[in-house]
Amino acid sequence: MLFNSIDFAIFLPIVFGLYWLANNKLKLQNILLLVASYFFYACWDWRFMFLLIFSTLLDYYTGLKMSDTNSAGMKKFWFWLSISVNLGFLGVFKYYNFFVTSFADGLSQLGLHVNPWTIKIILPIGISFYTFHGLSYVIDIYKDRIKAEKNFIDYALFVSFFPLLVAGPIERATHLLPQIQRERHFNYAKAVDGLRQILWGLFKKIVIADNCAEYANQIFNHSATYSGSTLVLGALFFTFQIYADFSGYSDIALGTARLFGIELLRNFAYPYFSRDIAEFWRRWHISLSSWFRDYLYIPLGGSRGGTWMKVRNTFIIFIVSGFWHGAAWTFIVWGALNAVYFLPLLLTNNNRNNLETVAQGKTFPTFREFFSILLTFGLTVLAWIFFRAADIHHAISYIAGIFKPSLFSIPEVKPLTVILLVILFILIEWRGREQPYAIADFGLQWKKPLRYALYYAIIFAIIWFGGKEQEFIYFQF
Amino acid sequence: MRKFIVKIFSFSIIPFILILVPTLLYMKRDVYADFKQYNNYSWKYSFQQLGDLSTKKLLKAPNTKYNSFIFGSSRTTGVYACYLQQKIPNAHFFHYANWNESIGGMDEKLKLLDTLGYNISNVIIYLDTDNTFENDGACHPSDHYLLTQKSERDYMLSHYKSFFSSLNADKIKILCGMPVSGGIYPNWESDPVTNDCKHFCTDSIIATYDDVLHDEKFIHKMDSLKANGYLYKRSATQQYRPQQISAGEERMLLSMKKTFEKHNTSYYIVIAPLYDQEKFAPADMAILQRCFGSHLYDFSGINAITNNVYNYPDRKHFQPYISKMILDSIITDKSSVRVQMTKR
Repeated sequence: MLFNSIDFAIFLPIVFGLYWLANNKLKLQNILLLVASYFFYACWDWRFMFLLIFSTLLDYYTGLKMSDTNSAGMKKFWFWLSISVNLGFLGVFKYYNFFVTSFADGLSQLGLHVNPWTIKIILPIGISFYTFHGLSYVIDIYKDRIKAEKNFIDYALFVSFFPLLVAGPIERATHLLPQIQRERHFNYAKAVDGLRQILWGLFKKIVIADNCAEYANQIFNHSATYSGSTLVLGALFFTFQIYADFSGYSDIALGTARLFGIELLRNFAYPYFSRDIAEFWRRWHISLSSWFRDYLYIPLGGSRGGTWMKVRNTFIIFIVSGFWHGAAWTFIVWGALNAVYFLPLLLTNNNRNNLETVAQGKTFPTFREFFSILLTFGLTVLAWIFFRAADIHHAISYIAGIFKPSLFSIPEVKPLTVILLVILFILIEWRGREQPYAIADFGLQWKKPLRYALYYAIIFAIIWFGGKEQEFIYFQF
Repeated sequence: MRKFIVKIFSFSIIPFILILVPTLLYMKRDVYADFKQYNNYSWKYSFQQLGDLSTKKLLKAPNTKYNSFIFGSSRTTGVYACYLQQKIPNAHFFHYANWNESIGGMDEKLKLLDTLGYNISNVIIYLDTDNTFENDGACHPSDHYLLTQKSERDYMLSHYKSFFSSLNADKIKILCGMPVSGGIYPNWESDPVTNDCKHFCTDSIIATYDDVLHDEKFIHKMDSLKANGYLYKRSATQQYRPQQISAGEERMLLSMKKTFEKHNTSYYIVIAPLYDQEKFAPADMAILQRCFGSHLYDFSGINAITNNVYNYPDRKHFQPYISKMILDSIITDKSSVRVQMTKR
């Protein structure tokens, strides 16, 4: 069930009510959350429950085996068993057809024609996310960072907790498991804050993302017929669509978890206000980029070693990150392009600048900061074109279509209401950039009627300006 | 916790009332005819979907009531079922058109009729070069849930969201039970039996079917539309649409043909004579010919009908007598019928 659906609006209060009725009964609360999570997942497609449960059982069992054994060899055996089976499932469901058809295309370039044996398979929703949950758990046990969880209910809940099950954030056992294991007491302030974050997430998803999606799809799907200026607008609409969609989902996930007394990892920190690409990647899909940093980049040597090692590791990390998003060359090119953006900063040791929020404590950025933000934003928009395009050829022709004399003409598609909503959204995000989410502290000092009026206005905007419903983009990953 | 629950309730009171009252009014006015059954279903409001209303009407009738059907877009409003019933013995027609009908919509309607146990003896279909093959043949999202394969709940919810998402003064008046007029209220009465749009089937309707509007007022109006460019000048050379029939749409065409073969249907697939004078791309025509062969009748492109601007009251539709001319030419073994010119 979608977060922005009536089904979820019925599901959540029921689970919330039953959960807090079981106050001070930790075991019962965890069982309830687990059952609710499996129900939530089964609403998508009950057939893939078996895969989720199998993956959970596998990692639980191999985790216990690794913890119990004293033999380094056996430990390695259980470790690689878990890794290979988890990645095997991911590989088959997500990447098999891509590799087979790419292999066949490659052979046809050499004049050899084969009929690729592709399989008609549906991608289980959330597989990329819950697989990575399990992998991080297994790797942390192998590296002796944590002990295996003996309680199956607690472990299964860590993997399947419904707010993060289908589109993250990708949690770490070190962060989430302790919260599952300890008692949770109802906290009024956190619950209200959670509701506020859910409201803001719904606004981002329904008002901004869904409205931008309508025009992004129209322009990208008929890009050959539009002027350069319209194509720029299309790229911008997609840029805001993907941000509002994914960060909106994350806000709803974090807010929902907070209702149950659980804090999830922050996933977005206003990435479009970044002053360079390194900062962007510290602020965009934080749970994924930090996962790749800790479990792939650092084990490969990170930024230690010579220039060649740095270049190699950077390309590996960004290309794998792109590939994680989907089995298509466009995602790989998107990743590679970001690596090209990132490398100059890394090689000149400028990848750790701009660690604080831009214009911290001030209303406006400096001219230099503003220029840096615009440049970084422009590079990001260019890369998103590859992310959105149907294929490489489409992306290249889209970009070529921008750089024509028609770039300076008035766009053929100009939905003024949506543009104004996006501008308003940017202003609200800018105002709240030092907060965990944009309206975290908005109106808290106001009198209750005025504060309520603000929330009613957001609800009204969600109902009135709600775009044509689109599925969350990251569900396809 | 109690404080939280009380806070939620107190916060929710105003939005609850603001949502509950319009929702109850919406259900009472039943603008999409979702909540109650009616004796007749007509296109009263512009936001209703004709195909949806027609399906509701059909579902009320026994499956022995009709054995002949008309499919297509608003261009078929000029196809009079009552006239066809005179031409074809033992034919009981149901006008099953839809606004902006797609090939997928027609295919789903045929499948529905087959599922409901209808005998499909005669079918007239209008294909439009400009919109039948769009969006990969997807059904119109507002069409009946038995056609779109949505759940009934999602279908009613989509009507609800659609009504309130573009709320305006006229819709508020409708909710309050006040009279409305203008574009939002076309109020086309449909024939209770044949479902013909905008008229009841009477002898006088059939008698005036081939009336050609040719009075001075009409001529003056058309000449003004030509002068201001609304009825634009068409190209002197034959133009073709870009190729548009997708693989999925071709499968829909074959599915329709299979249904016709199953029912031993007498069917007539007409490519409508649109004002733009554009024909299907040759590749698309080849697909249509492969599917329907001698059942396909092409009235599109540059010809005597489309050359005469007075045949078009607007850029999208043609006069009813044109449909009569088409029906007479395809159903009576191509013997032409002279169109009577009568002054109004």
